[in-house]
Amino acid sequence: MGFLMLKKNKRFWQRVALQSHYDAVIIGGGLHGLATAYFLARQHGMTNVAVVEKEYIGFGGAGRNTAIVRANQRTPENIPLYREALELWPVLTEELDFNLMFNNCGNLNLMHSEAAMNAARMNVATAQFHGVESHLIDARQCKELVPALNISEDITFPIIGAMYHPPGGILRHDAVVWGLAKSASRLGVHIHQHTETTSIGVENHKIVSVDTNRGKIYTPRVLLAAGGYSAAISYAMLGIKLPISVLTIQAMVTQPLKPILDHVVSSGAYHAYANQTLKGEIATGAHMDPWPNYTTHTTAYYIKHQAEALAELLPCLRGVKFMRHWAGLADMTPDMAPILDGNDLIEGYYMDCGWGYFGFKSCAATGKYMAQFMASGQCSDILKPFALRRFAQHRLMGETAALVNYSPDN
Amino acid sequence: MNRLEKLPTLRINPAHPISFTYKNKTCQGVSGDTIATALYANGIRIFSRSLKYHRPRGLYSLDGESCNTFMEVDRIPNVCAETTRLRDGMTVNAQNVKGTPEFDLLGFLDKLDWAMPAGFYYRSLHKPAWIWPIALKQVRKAAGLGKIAPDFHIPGKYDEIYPQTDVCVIGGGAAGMSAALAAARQGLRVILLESRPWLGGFFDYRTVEYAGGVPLYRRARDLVQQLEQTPNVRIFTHTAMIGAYHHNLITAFQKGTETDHFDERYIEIQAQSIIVATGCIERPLLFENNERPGVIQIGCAHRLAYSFGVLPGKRAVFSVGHDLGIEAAIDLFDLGLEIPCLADIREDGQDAYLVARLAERNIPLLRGWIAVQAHGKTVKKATLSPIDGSQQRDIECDLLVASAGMTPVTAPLSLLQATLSFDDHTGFFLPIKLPPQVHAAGRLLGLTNSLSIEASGRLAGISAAADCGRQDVSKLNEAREELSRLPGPQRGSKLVTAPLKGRKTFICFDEDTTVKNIRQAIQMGFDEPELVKRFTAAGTGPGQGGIPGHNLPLFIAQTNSDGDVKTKATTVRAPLVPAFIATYAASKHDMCKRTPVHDMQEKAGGMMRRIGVWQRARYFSQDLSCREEIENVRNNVGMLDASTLGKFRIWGPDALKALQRMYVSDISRVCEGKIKYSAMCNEDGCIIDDGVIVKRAENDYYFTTSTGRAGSTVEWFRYHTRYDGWNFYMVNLTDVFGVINLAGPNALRVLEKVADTYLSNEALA
Amino acid sequence: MSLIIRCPICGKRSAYEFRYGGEDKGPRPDEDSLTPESWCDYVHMNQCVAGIQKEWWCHRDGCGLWFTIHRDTINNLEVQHPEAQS
Repeated sequence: MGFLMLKKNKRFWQRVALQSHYDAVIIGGGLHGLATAYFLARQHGMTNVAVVEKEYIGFGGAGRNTAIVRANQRTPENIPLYREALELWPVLTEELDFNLMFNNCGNLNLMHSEAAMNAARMNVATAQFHGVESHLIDARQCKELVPALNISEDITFPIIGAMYHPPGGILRHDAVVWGLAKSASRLGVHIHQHTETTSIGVENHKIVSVDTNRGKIYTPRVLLAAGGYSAAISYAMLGIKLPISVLTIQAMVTQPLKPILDHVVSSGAYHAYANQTLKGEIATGAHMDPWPNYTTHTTAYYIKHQAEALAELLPCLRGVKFMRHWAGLADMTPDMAPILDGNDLIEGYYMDCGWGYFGFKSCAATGKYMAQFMASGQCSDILKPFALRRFAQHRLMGETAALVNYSPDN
Repeated sequence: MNRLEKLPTLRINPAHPISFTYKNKTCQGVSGDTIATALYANGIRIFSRSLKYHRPRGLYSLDGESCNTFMEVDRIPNVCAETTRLRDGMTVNAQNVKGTPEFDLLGFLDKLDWAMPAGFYYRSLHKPAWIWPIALKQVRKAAGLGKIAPDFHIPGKYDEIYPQTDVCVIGGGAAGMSAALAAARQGLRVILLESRPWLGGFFDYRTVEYAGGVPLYRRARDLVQQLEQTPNVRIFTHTAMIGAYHHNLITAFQKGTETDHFDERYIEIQAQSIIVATGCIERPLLFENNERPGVIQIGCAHRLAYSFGVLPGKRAVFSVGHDLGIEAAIDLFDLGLEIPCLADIREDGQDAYLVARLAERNIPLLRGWIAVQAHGKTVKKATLSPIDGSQQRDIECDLLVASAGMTPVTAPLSLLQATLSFDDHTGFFLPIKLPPQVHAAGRLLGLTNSLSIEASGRLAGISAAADCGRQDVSKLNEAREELSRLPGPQRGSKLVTAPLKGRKTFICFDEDTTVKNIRQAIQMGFDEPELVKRFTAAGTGPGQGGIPGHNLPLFIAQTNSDGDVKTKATTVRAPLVPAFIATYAASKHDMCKRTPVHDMQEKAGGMMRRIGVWQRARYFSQDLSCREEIENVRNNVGMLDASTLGKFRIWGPDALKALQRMYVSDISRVCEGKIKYSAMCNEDGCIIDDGVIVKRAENDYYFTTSTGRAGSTVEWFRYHTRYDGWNFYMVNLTDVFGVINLAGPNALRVLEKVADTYLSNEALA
Repeated sequence: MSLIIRCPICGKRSAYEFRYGGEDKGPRPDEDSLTPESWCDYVHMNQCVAGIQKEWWCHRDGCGLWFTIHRDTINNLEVQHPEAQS
């Protein structure tokens, strides 16, 4: 039973004093910040790195998302990043020596009209072209995969079929945070919790320092990876506006059940997804209240909406109880693609934000390439399409059929 | 029936038996029973097996603070037996067992705890890599409590209501009732929510004197009577508050009785002012095997006898930290419970009157003593020790009534964004800052004196009335003075754990988290209560933190070596009581619009589909290929119901200017009586809509849009002209006209018949 | 969270009756001096203030009016007198 033997309870990450100089400061102790720190230390030998986190690691989106991963994005620019991230989970599990609990259960994206089925055909073709497994199945096949699904005609949006993506699945979000933090810390990265960034020092268009509530840090490089707060920090501290709207996204779980749902099921028409966690809870969510705010409060409106959706899609769940409902922040861009940029407006200033609710899926791959970018100053091709300048150049990506900018254009 | 029948406090009717099935055997309960009390009366002590270790679990509290009494009832999983009323013909079964709750084949897992330290899953099962996919399947099977069938359909009626009120009082104990009465007497509409099936709270089952020779339960019933005679108070019993949101929006769900038209209903209350009077639950005592069946809380033992007529055991050891424990011992002794001794964590500070009554009954009081271990699968013996652990004494018993103290139920206040802070005197997390229009009253503030509890309720009621515009300064001052003259919060016991030796002291029952697990987590660097909670899962189970909510932060603060970790409560999340998805979804019915030809199309075999807010025929063929239909349109003529398209009239001096801004074409070139096709773009240059524009007269146009944007077109025009102050009117005519689209080579001929005139392409151009 | 908004015509109503219309960025840029950057700034860029911001709302399920309010994005409450708070 070798796999059961555990080492003594060593500290996962060390508490260290804040130093006055670091080679890089990463704002945000979430998935992207920690992943970048980890890869900086592991692959580029840059270990004099500080991750500064206002709360505790994994407090924000990292600890609030439902950790669904997939690579069947819509556009050729996005797919490679998500595909590589998907392939990285088993590798990372080994590298970090931490069980990230990847459950490769596959994702079903339900279609409720012939028109939607046709649109999905395009999506599937793009994915297949880029070597990502994805195909269309009909309602009967959906029912075989998910016996609890209601494929009858008498619901608001009858199910016509689905886009089935077997390589996708779910992970344990906290495991990814702690695994990355543990390994980064052991490689020498300093993780400073309860350390709030108060200003960023710039001289001659170059980053020189970061001020925190625990002291000043001199550094030539800063990575903004503060999730929902990135846009506010960028504008308040550097005067750089970002094409971001910060919305509250909610999710909830039911009481734990024995296995009933073996795949991730999602539906655009119902604004809902559902999957079963390893603990047996049905995790579900998707909708966002369409006005920006920084609260992480839930709404009565939404838990009811979600119940109505599940009651139609998976009617046996009517006999199950919701147990916990929470919210996090999503930094939405108009084209549902992130802003990955650096060394452009200010030398040494890097950005990894605007992920909306996709931040979990590709954190590992993004961290790897952002680390390379920060270590070398050179942006790799895979990140180039995500530059901030794409908005002024009218090169928005088509991750959604319509713009998502929460003005009446949408 | 083995029930105590003569007690005036009873909430059951022993004369009305109820039959139900448990483990395929018919059992008897009585009207007023919950499933759990009926089972307990039938001698059942083990109700379930725990999540991880499959340890036997029994009745511990009566308000659903843990999943100890979760059972499968009429095929519904995870039913909380202690808060669900018994109904005739119910089929009850244990869940998460292989065998029976008494003899569970997976019980051996309890011996494997050494292999499953804190964070076990994170640190194992991934090496070698091939092991994980196999382990994953087993982990999934072992996880989860209840089982649900994919074709399961929960029966029953689920309703919803949305009442508005001036004052909403949460908690129907003495403080809540006093508050409701005080607010109602100011002429306001009051809603009172109580999660139990009756009002009364801590007063309901107790016989000690309230004042002037009146016992507490009598006082509670007097208050209930006063409330029932107050027409502006609406009482919801068996109604658990589940959520609280900005602007005093409260959600709750009510369980129906046989006479209600619903089984459960969702209630969303919009209140001006809120009073939280949710009282206290008990803080579990932490000792070895502290969750064995037979270990129960004070209130549970007390209420089993006085509300449900079930003497909870034969011989009970008490280990308590609060006067309510002494009072319960006296009351239960008087009903025939043998009590070899009562250990009290407190060295002093006990109520002298209660101590005297203990002495009268020859019940030894062990001051500064505590239970350190329970023995037996169900309790057979208890080990007691002084709190310094200097000596031990074993006492045989079949019941161990254990409680460390009280825990205020502050979760509703947390959801309402009140600021809570650890209070050294009471050992409670108490509100130090309440948001406007939110008040707190009663036992949750640490008050224990009955008169103080009522007075604080009255003060809250009068303060809430002031929020609603019924300011009565003299009354308010009077209430304040009255409260200040009465005893304030009592000193609370802050002891966290008994002197511990073993490995099986459970801080969270639902997740099988032991005190040892918490220590391990802290050693690994998880020093934030919130991180400890996530890493060990303590408090993330269906009991919503009812068991670990208070002990966990106290224990972490005590255990953490560096002093900079403050005693901090963990986050509270809605729903405070788990609620059925059926209840949340309630009576949702789909609302949609129908076009003028709807019935005709349906009769013709149209496959009706939802499109936006409409129902519309999508096709008429037998299969999706629609070959016949397509060929008929190509070769003959076809008719499409286009009534759902957006239709608008825009007119006024600036109508043309507005159209020019919205459309990509030059609309000024459309002549009177003529029509033009064009598209609209968003500000990023993407086409978002198309349609035709007809010029009716100067600055008077009719235009059409797609179905999807019909609802937002007016708002869109107004948005893009919001800074301009232009003068134009718009009216949405979408629902006014039906539209038929005629297509095919014979379209013109059909149209001629309808129009009764000669038509040609040239004439229409 | 729930949001109640004060419509100038209809009074206090639930935010679900309204539509959010973005940060108040002032009128669209003058067409004569338009650059891709200034248009992008107007269309896409936001200040994302964590605090009080002036913003547009439309009472969609009511009178249909477009109007501005001040709202604190930290606690999601409408602010009646922003000048007194800042």
